[in-house]
Amino acid sequence: MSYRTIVFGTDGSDTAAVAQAAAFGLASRADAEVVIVSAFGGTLARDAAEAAVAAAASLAEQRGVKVRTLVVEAPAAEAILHVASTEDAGAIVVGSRGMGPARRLHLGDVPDRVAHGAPCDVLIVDTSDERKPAPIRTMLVGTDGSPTATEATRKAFELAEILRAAVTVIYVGDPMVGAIVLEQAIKDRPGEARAETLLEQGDPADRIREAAARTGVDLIVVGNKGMAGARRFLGSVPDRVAHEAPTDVLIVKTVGRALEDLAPGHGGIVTIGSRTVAGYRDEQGVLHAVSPRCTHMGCTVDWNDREKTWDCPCHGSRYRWDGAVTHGPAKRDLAPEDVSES
Amino acid sequence: MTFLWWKFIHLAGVFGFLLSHGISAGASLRLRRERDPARVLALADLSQASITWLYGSMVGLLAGGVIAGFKIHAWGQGWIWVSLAVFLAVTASMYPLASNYYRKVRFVAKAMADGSTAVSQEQFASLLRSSRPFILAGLGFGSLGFILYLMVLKPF
Repeated sequence: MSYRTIVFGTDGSDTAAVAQAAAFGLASRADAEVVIVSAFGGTLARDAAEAAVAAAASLAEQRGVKVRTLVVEAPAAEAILHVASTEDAGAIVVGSRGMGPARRLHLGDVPDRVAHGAPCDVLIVDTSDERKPAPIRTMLVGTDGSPTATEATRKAFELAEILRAAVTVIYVGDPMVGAIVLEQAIKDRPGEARAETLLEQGDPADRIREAAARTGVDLIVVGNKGMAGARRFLGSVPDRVAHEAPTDVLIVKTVGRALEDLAPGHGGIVTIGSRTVAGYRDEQGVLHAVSPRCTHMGCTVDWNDREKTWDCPCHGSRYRWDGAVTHGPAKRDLAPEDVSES
Repeated sequence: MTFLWWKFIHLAGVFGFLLSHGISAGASLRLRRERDPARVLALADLSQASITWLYGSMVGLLAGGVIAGFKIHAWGQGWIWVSLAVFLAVTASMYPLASNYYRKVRFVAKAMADGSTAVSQEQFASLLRSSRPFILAGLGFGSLGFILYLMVLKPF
């Protein structure tokens, strides 16, 4: 995981200052550039927006953080999302109360829209008590053993390496399956971050929230599966955690990724225009793309990061990273896909 | 096509269904006595290998039966509707009952075969001793027996 560019939106408010400190702290540890955005035309006048970004930039420079500023005439959320897309940002940082008026104990309109529409990771900073934020020393990441959750766990450990934080991995569900998932998560973790595990039962979002409150972690990490589309209205786990968490939340992009999101040695289902492909980028950075449809009965395969295989969740067929079938009931290989990277 | 040909397709589908599903049933009952993760996986693979034939047979069984029913004007009678409803209801209930359990068995067996120590041999044995295969077998045999009764005796 590398954050080369972090987008941070501000309206100059005190709550924005709390999120700002978190953004600069992250950028400093990750050696990233911060693009400070302020939107005018709604409740914020152009003068105020320009003053807000100037003040923020000044503080950033004092902290030795590379910074650029942008003032945009647009609704705040749209401005942030547009800049994140055009700047190819690795992360967006927003406060939990949003910009301008916001309801207490709820995510404001801006952070909620950013979280659901972001093209990258989103760090939602808890600004509820306008406290002076502390460095992130402890993290809690939820996993259910799925490929997207495994990806979120991997990114959490990579971030922990950057921040020198300790990680607690939590699984909520069947104890036997959970024990194995947690064992694999610790065994496969990149880097040397200190790691612990928690095995709980019950409602995943509730248990994650309770564990975060009980252990006093500084950051909760979840994947973005269920943050977009119809599932967001069904109360997906990451959506509920983002709204109910007692601390900062990092929503890691694990679904709706593009080819360039695939790190060397990893694979996943990615979107190219209107189609999806199963892509694997080898250690040399060469991309291998195949059809994501199992040749047995057409289910979408999942990437198995441990074994570097494509696994069908429906009936257990398995394919090598290049699509060659290794385990039935499928009999035919996954068809190669033509993709080109510029 | 005449009624007899559709009846033939229906019965051929039933035959294929029982043959392929019998493989799964036999494997699931045998699993209860296995304790070697590799052998458990092999039995699970055997069960999975029959899935394609199972689905294909179900298509023939349903299509042949529905059309044969039209050929003899049976859709005005209750036995055929109840037969179809029981078949579909049992299929819908057996799928989650079976797939969730065997997905877990396969997952745990694979992990143990790969060297995981997260689950003990006692826990694995407890999982395999589950009464789930008997529940599934009872549900399957019971419903098929009831459908056979309806189709032969046509009580209503």
